[in-house]
Amino acid sequence: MIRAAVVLVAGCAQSYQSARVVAPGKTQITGALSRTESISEDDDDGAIYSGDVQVRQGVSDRFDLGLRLVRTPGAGEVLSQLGVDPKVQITAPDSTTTLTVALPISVAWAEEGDEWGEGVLVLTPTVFVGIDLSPAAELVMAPKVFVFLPDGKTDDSEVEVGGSIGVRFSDASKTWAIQPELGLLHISEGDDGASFLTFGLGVSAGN
Amino acid sequence: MGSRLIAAIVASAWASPVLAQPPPPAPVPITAAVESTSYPLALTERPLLMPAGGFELFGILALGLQEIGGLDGPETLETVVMKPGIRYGIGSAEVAAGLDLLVHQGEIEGVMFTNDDPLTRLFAGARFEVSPELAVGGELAITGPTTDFKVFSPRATLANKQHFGRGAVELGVAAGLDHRPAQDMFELPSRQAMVLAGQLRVQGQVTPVVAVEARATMTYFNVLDDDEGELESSPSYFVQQSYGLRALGSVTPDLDVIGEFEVLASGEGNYKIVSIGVAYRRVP
Repeated sequence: MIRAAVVLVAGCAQSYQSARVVAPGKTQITGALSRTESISEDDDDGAIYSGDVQVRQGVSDRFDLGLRLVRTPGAGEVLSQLGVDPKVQITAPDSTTTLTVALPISVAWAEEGDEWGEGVLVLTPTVFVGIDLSPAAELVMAPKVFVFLPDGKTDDSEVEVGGSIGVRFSDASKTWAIQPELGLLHISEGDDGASFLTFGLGVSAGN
Repeated sequence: MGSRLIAAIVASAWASPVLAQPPPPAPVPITAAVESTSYPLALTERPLLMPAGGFELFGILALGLQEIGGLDGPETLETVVMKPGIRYGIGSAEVAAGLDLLVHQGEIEGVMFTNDDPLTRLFAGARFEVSPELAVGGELAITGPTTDFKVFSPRATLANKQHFGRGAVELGVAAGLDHRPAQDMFELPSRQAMVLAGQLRVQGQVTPVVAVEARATMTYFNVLDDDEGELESSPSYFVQQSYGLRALGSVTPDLDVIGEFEVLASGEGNYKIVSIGVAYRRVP
């Protein structure tokens, strides 16, 4: 169970987006690959990889909406997460330091061939802090809380914490970006819980 | 009085030495400074198909690392495959062909590999330009062409590329069949699967000569003859996905250097491929 939870959290712990919202009328598409590994002493299982596809649409100066799919590779047991990701920018659009809040809502599930597991609802309140290091680089920090609601029953819910930090390289046109990111996760399952480190790279393009 | 003042201002402006100076130079496209042919240096600006009369030769050396259960627990199987190929532009179409050659097959104690033939896959295809952003085509791949378990994979394909300045997005769709003929020696019936695949490539031109690409491929297999006996324990359908990151350096307008990391499976049976390659082209 803990491995499945890690994969689910690993997917949404990474951000691969600017702290700024996408400009109104603009569309941005992102592909990313992440690698998650335990940093706890008693967990020597191998690394878990996951792929990430996002589409974000700018709605207004301070609001954009994203659609995001995260899936593990392979043809055997696959873990997936599909959700919508609304984001509201608190600071002014032209500020050099950006503060944004997001509330991704997603469904996570496991499948193996034609056998599908029950879905889990995942809420991920996130705060984005973006600092312009230069006109071509933005430091993006995104602490998050993960709320798992199995079968929609709140009495079985779990709450975990994590976050990501990365640098988003782009240019003034914003028609492309690459974003290497580190993510740290803590899962409270078990006596001491477990911590996981994720590294990934996202590539974005859009109008 | 007012009209004379306006006329004087206009006349003065026309006589201004500032206006007599040449206009500032227009912004230069990212590829213009170093491009010596009509084919764009930047990956994000390249068309889907090779221009008419142009060709591209490419070779990829792929190191596969797959975790397989051996006698002493999980071990990593190393496989090295060389993938040469060619693309050639004819009018508003492009033909392509390639093959996979097994260069090295690792060994794991207790696991037997029956395929000693280096030729592991053949591929040929053609695409036609519907518009500069859209191409349709067909292709045929044969996996294990010299073995008793060869698989024929015909596909109809569609590709779309959207250019966004220094970014680009390619979306590809393929639909077809995987057909493995019956194998009398092993009393195996033929096997067919309907296949539908989608691929997304997101590209960013980091510098004029270096581009980075993230790729996600998802393939849906529907096994058509599940009731033949052989596949009783198999799922009637399954989805397979892989992800990759690729860097492409345009050493010259004619020569690319490519590096790629691809993950085909995760968790148990981790399967990764690290590739390097070159592509050489001539465009009239």
